[in-house]
Amino acid sequence: MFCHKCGTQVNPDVQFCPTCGASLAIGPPGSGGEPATPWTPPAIVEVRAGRWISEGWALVTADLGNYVLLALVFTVLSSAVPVILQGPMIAGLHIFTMKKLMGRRAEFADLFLGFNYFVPTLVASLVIGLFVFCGTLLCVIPGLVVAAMYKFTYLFIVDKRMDFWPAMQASHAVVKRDYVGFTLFLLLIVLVDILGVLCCVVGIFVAIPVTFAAITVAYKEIVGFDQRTVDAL
Amino acid sequence: MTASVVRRAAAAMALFSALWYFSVPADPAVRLCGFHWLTGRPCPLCGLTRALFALAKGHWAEAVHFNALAPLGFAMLFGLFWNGRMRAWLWKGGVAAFAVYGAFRILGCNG
Repeated sequence: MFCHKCGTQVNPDVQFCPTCGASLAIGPPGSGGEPATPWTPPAIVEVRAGRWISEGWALVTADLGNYVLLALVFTVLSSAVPVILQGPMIAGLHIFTMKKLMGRRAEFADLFLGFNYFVPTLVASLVIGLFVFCGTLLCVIPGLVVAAMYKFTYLFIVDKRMDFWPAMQASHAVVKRDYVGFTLFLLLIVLVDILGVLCCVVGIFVAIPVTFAAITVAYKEIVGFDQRTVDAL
Repeated sequence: MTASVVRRAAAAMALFSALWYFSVPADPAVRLCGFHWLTGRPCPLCGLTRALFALAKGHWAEAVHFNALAPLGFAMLFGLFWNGRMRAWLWKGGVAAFAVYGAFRILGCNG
């Protein structure tokens, strides 16, 4: 289960969170691994890839120093310890942007808040990586669709306190409303990253946060942040 | 007719026009399929890109030669622009058909 206040993953037997000290016995209903209220996917989803990316760009340029530093640390640590650190750090990048979108004070250390969700984000990154690999083997395009399907997984883990598999299913439930639109959104994101690399390679440190910010903006618009997350952040 | 329907129809027309106007090499120099690279056998989707370009030009025999389920793939692709319940049925049935076809191809019964 997860602490309803700080989001730390805790043993179900404990009564108080070891990180923030919040009482887990009197937490809000459903404050464990499941969301407080059952989440239902939206009936209609309109993909606005261009607008999401431009909003992500606006967020990043408004706090360029912090975002570039985040991307730099993300890239270095992900390269130094491949696979293991990637999932939690992606969650951290999302948390940073979530705080920005909520009007809270976001700081560099938020990158490491993703480690509060270490197990689900790690397993999610492994499973998604495996699925995307298998899809890519089949003439590439299925791999792109699978990658698009699970783009919101880390946000569901962080925001709705879901375990990796329900979070992947929730992400799929959103994307299946418009596979084409979300796959094109993914391709646009890849294009942004390619443009970043073309800008003397260092442009990637702007492109990476833009892409994660765009995904967070899309999540906020389509799914909306959970009240518990708003309170906790 | 709503704006959404018009946009979908325009996108479908644009895609069809691109498939009809452009051509891809029948024998590509580089194969992108990782499955083919690993196993030497074609995956369920191998040849589908070439087949779609051929179908748009009306070359049915050539398309079916590249991928026997090319007409189904064509219907699935353009079904994406049609926002109805039939689309889900078409895709579920289509994915199952491609899976069976893939098994035949991998076992060496076809292509």
